[in-house]
Amino acid sequence: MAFQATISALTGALVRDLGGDALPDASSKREAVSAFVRSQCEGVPDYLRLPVKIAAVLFDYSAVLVAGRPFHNLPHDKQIRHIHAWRNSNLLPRQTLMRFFETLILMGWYSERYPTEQP
Amino acid sequence: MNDPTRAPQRVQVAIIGAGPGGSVAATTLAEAGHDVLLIEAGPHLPVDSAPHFRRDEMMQKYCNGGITPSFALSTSMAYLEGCCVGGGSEINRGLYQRTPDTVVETWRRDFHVDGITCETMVPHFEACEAVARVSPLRAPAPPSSLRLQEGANRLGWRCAEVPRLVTYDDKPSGKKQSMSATFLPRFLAAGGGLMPDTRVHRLRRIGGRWSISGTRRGRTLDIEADTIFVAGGAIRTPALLKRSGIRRHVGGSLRFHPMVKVVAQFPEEINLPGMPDPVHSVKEFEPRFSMGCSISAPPLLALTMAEHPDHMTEVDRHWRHMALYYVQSTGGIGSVHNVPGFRDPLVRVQFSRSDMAELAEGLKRLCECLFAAGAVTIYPGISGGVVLRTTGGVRGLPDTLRGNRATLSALHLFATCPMGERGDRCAVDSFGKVHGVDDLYLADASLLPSPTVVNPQGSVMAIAHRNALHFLERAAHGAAKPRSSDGRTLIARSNL
Repeated sequence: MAFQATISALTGALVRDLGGDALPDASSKREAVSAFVRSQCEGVPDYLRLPVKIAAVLFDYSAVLVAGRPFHNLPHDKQIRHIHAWRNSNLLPRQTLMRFFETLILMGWYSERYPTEQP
Repeated sequence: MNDPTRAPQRVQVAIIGAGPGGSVAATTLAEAGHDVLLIEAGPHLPVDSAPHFRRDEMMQKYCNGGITPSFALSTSMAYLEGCCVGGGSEINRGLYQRTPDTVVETWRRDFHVDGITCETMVPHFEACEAVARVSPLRAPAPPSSLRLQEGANRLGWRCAEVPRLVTYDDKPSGKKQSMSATFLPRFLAAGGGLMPDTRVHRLRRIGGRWSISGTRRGRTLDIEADTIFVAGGAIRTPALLKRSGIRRHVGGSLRFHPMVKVVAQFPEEINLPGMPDPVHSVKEFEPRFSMGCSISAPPLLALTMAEHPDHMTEVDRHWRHMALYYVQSTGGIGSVHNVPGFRDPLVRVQFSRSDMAELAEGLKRLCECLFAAGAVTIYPGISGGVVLRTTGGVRGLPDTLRGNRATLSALHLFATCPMGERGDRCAVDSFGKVHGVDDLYLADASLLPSPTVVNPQGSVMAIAHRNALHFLERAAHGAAKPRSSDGRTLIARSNL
């Protein structure tokens, strides 16, 4: 449950940052992206499956230390600040985790946003 | 035999992996009258079961949904592999080139591959090209591809249109000549058996025969075979051999074509839906590095633009003016390992300072070429958010990518079980038989001794064809080494 909440919140925050909330049907698109990210996390090499989930939950609860609440309960501006802190961290594992989730969310979001534009 | 739900208990030849190498070997042997079962870990889906290079195709046909990272102390690299009947041929662009003469010569000289020359390879290329047709574009190339050519021409660099495994008879964008559309129908027509959705865990030698243990849709199965060809690709093949206790020169010599991408934006629209895939490649700097144009659908543009989060909205505003370009080299080495208790292999890679300097030089040259072609903005796929707006800005790019955390990826992987007669570095002999192991052969990119410099599918298919014919001749002579490795003589005796 904690993992699911983290992925939903992370997806929501990044999609909103991309201006996605202004689009019609934004909510169902966002949920489709979130489902895609969760599905991809199940498909990673098996020795990474549990570490990825644990790392996601650690990311969620690390926000308690800096903002007093888990990431999935933060307002949007603080969520974005937390994402930036991890993305620009000097600690490689934090950067790598953010890059991993951002990549999946971008792939998922732009596939929803442009379903037919296949050059 | 074609019923995929029936698991035969005994077969003459089992081929594990239905990618280009496995499909060519399976078809060659089945058409020569052998009882062949082709086993594939992934599903059997039509080539158009999902839009190409999109999310749904990743989920259906890529190993681990397209998330296959490698690990490194400094610069890591993602790689992609197909996991479906047809393997990489179902998910790639089908760019086709024969193995360059210099590469074949390297294999002969440095790995002591017997009987391999540019001349002896020709009939094998021809045989494969007769089944999986290779065509140049009939219509004009897409604007994104032509821009690369224009840039190269203005700089006086060699640039060529690369033919594709595509026919353009029915529609301008072409019909893909993947394995599921070409070799596999012939394989099935020849009586071959196809078993998709089947994971092989281990091979064991019992009583002069091979026992294959695996799982199919959650159920365990055991198959006996007189001979096995392993064709799971450069990562999965060494992993299976190692799990089966075969380790000599296996998995430790991974090579690849590491790639860095850029997004280039032009004043005019260049990224138009419905156009054929890009086909141009800058050859001026081969074999050190080459450049090309990638599929540039908005999701793929966004992935490279992830290095430029402040400019991400440019994709929404200008994606029709943007295209993805890449530079790829042959640098870097790696190794494949099994993780105790887990199924998926772990890949480690490392790059020397000169490998990264070479890629950095390639990146600069690529940007130079794109500015010469009229690009107004270039977003390199390296972290740090450097955005280039003039040719002069190219000089500001780093001289080496080490430490800059380049986003590297690789589509072409090789050489984890190199072929040849050198006992100090080769896992299989000159025709794919595993050294020191009876009746076990390889038929995929794992046995190519070094990077092919160009797209490797043509090399994989031709070598698989060559080695399958040699196997037939060897079998006809009661395992005696054949006197001739002349491809034309062998082909005359087969149906391919």
